[in-house]
Amino acid sequence: MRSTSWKQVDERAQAIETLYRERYGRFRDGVATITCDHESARDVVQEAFARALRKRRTYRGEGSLEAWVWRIVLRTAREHMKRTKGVALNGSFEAALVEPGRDPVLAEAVRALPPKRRMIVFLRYFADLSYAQIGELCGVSEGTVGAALTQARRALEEQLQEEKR
Amino acid sequence: MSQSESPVRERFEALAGPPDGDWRDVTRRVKRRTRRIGALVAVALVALVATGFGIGGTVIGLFDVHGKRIPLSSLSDRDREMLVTSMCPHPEFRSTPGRAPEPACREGEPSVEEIADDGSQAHYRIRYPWGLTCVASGPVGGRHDATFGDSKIATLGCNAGAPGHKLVPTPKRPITVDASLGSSAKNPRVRLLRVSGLAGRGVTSVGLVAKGGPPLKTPVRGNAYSFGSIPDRSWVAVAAYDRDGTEVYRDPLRGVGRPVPALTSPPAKSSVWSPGPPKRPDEAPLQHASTADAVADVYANGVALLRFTSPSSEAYRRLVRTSHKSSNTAGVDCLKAAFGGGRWETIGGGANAHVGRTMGAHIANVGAMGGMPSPPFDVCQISGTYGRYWNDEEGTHELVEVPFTAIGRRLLDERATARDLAYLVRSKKMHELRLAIHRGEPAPPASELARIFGSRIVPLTSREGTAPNGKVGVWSDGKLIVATEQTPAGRRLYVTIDALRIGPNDIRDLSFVY
Repeated sequence: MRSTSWKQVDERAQAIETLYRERYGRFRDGVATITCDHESARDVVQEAFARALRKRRTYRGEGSLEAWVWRIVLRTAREHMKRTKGVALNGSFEAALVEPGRDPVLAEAVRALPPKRRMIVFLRYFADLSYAQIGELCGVSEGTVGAALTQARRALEEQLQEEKR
Repeated sequence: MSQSESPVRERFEALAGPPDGDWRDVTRRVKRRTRRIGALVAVALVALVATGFGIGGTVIGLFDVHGKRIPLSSLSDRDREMLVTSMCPHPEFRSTPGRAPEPACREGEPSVEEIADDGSQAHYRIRYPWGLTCVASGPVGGRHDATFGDSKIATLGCNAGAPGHKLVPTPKRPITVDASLGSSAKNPRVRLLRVSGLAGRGVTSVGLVAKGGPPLKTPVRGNAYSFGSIPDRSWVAVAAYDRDGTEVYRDPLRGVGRPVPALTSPPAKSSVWSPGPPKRPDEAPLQHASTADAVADVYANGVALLRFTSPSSEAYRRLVRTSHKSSNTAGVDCLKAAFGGGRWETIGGGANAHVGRTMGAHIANVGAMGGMPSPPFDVCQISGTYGRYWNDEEGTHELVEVPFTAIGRRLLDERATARDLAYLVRSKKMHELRLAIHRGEPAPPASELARIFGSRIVPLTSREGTAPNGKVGVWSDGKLIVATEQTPAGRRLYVTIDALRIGPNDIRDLSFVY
């Protein structure tokens, strides 16, 4: 066992706890767009953080901790969806706003986006992830994330402008 | 936040869910899962230790493959750590003047051979100088992971504690069987999930045998076989077949299809393993040192005992006050340290121990397979269970730190300084600034950072500047922020913040910065 297991593991546990305390809401809201309700999203996030705690020795600090935890969260969400909905997901979640009635215009605008772009929008605005972190999670470059977000934002803003008229 | 993002972001933020986070629930889940894994391992072992028996007169399958030798130097750091350091009975350092110390094994290094490759999975035999044999496997070509590092090895199994157990095929047992079992809440019967293994020469296919039906066969490729998707049936055995399709060997699978046994008693209330201190050996300690709070003794067999000098000491009172958060346990650890080429390396190990006036651990016995340091140590410590925040009253040292050597004392000093920087970078205020920079806002000037973080921060006029002892110097060019601090010995530590990323720094070997 090297230095990673001695001096950093407990610090990692503390770092994961800090991340949880500071960003729980972001994780839960992001996952809720996949599971379609806050209650099961909470369960997924709780389980994913428990997994992150168990696996913390494998995190080598070479990327962002938050992106690493997000990968675990999304994997847990995928398993949850397979288990509860009985569908095999290919990685592109059919994400949607949890309570569309709270902002029907935004819900409609989001629904019009292609699934992958919708996911990127949710990871940006609900999960508050950086372009680099989203790229890491979705397996695309930062530039692709930026382009997808620009296009999505334009589409959303057009819809929201129409609402004002 | 950029102006163009604001209106859209605000619409999303207005839809946030209820504040229902519960960290204690997360930690409870960690413990629950540990219990479940224990039960599953017990079931899996039943299958893996199933006794094989030969069938028919054709004894084939001698595994005389002399695999392709894989030099250790060709493996990634991650694989070398797994195969060498983590398995070593006595890990230590190899030091070269002017260069970073390298972990090494006193007993020598293993030999690694690639012995099978079915096109998707490669299998390796690892033979250690002290008699241990392991078989590892992983995807052909290895796996690239930006976060965890490259790796060829995904799984590792050894014959530790059972030297007679054959990990590779023999004439009497021409295939090995690595089976995974599981069940689900909807269908609480034991189900065969995955079967793979190695096959000796002459075995051309392997089959899963069910009662009253034809076997489900899979071909042997490159001395290995693997079943992909396995139908849910009551499989009773794994069989090996020769070129003519004749069954030459059968390994029974026990328990598949049976109901998962129900728990007959509720789980114990306390699931946290928190042993008292190990027995104090009769002989004199190998190492002895004391601080204002505690006395530490290390014995030749690897037992380390730390005793608080008084129940009224501040450290002991703080431990008792905070340990309820971790089921009245705290970590007892010891380590060896080395410094060279501007870099620290440590080999450490420890265990959770029940909180008391005397706490200890048998450090050498903590690792099941090895990888633990052996005495003499440079440092032993008891870790507190409180949170870590920058500039808080708990400071950046562990609850009890006992250095035995000069290098140990220096490590503790430098680690405390590195943590100070790491906690600053991780602080909530800094995180908010980093998010703002990430969204396109300029990084605040150094004077503004000093105003935000208070009197311990001093602005620097150059990126390479040095802060007075006890202060943290900051420099900013509107994009990057550099935070720097001097160790008590006068070494300059620094970390560069590039929005949400951590740029060049020299504290990663001492503290966790992100």
